[in-house]
Amino acid sequence: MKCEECLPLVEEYVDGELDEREAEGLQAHLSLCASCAEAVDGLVREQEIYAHYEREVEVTPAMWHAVRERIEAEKQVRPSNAVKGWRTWLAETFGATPRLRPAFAAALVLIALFITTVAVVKYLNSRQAQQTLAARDTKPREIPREEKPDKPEQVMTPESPKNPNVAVTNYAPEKRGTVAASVHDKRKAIVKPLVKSPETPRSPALTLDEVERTATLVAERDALAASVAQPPGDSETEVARHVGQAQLLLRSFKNIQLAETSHALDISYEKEQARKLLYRNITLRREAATIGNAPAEKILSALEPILLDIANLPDHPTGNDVSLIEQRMLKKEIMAALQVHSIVVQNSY
Amino acid sequence: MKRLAIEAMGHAGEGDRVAGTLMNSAEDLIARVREGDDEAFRLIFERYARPVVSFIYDMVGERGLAEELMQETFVRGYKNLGGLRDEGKLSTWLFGIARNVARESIRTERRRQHQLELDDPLVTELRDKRLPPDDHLINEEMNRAIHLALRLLDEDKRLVFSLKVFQQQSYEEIALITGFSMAKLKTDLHRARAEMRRLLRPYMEVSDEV
Repeated sequence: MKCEECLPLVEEYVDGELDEREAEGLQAHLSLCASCAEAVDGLVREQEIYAHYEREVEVTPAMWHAVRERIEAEKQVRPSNAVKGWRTWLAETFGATPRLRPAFAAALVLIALFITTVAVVKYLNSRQAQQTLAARDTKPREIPREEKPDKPEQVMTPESPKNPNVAVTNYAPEKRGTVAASVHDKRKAIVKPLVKSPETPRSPALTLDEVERTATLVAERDALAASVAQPPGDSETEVARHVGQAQLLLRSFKNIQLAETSHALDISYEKEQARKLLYRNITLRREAATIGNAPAEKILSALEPILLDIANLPDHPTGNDVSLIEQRMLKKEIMAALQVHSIVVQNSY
Repeated sequence: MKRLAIEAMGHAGEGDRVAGTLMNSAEDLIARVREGDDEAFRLIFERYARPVVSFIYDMVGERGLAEELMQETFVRGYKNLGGLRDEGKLSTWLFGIARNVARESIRTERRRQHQLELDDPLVTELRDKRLPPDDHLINEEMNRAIHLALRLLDEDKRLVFSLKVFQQQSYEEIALITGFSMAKLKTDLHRARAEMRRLLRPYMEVSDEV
């Protein structure tokens, strides 16, 4: 060891902070180098002087009595920490654990966010369920029977996802088994941030870029789930299911226009469904393109802009807004195209 | 190998700690306090009150205030004992509370303390590197000189210096108490030692001669 290596370690040596090997190396150098040995001696002498430092403070029995009295007083005022003021608790807890302060504060923030999110989701879920029921009770339009199998995904049960925003993407999870369900759970986390709640007064318009980005993530998860749990060739079934759901949505959308024309319409339910179907549509369209399923790709490409239009409607659009989309649907003959696709698929089985 | 040089010197708080450890481990005492045994907390107080009040005195520089803050430290410690996860680190935990109690006090007392320091003639002597008035000052004057030299260190340096040099806490324990990185505490400690050496050089030379 050289002097320039030794000197930076001298303080740690005197403080007893070096490990065995470093200390031995340093001691070997000290036995040969008078100037480094002097540096160590100087530090040790300083330490001896500091060790004799006497402060004018003392600890007396009266101090313990004072502490005990304060503790007793605290006990009487607050029998348990449970009733302690939260400000005091936070100040004392943070003060008592300085090293943990940032982590503890961050953890509290995360917990608060989590609780808030759960509360909001629960609230929205119940509102949506109420709205759906109310809409079905009051509107003359009929919900076709085929929609019923999807309903358990919309109604909150102890086992079902708590977030209604992910309900539609939760297509047939029971077919995918445990691994697929796990993948699906992860996918929910991706979908959730971009899906606005139906109660939001002014939801920002979706752009295709945004939707495509999210759909890419969803597709990756779907591909993984499919590769694990689905037999080959099942994508056709998925497309058929999706087309069926889209038909239900578009039919429901048309019924609104028929039922209510003069005042602002409440289409939050349809809008939400359109958003969810849109993500699924993009995923399926890409899959269809990948495997060369031209008919599926064509019908999904035609459906996509309609879903986007509905998803981007304000929560309370005018009759004119709805009418414009309906005209587009007529122009593209999308309902007929969906119907034809469904028939062709059914006949192929 | 750890604490090689220091252990030979002995230390006021260390002896208490060792003796106490033989009788009642910190873990045992904490368990008893949590079960409602206030006598166990008295033993904790007796064991740690001296090092804690010394440390706080180093930080705030006033006897009455240091004693008051020491009591506050133990009251807080009692109330928050449930939050102590590693019972083997009781002293580190108490020093952490003491550090925060002292820091809160320093924040409110800073202006007044600064004025006191400036008014003290010994501060001028230290700053001007004058030789001490005579050669037989050693104990009392040295204590006063160290006390005032500590006051001239900035808070972070005073903190690590006191914890290391006077309280014999390891670097790891100091990092836990202060929340400083290892690099910062080593740098602060090195600079604090250099600053103290510079301020106390005349006194240390006299001390060496005696």
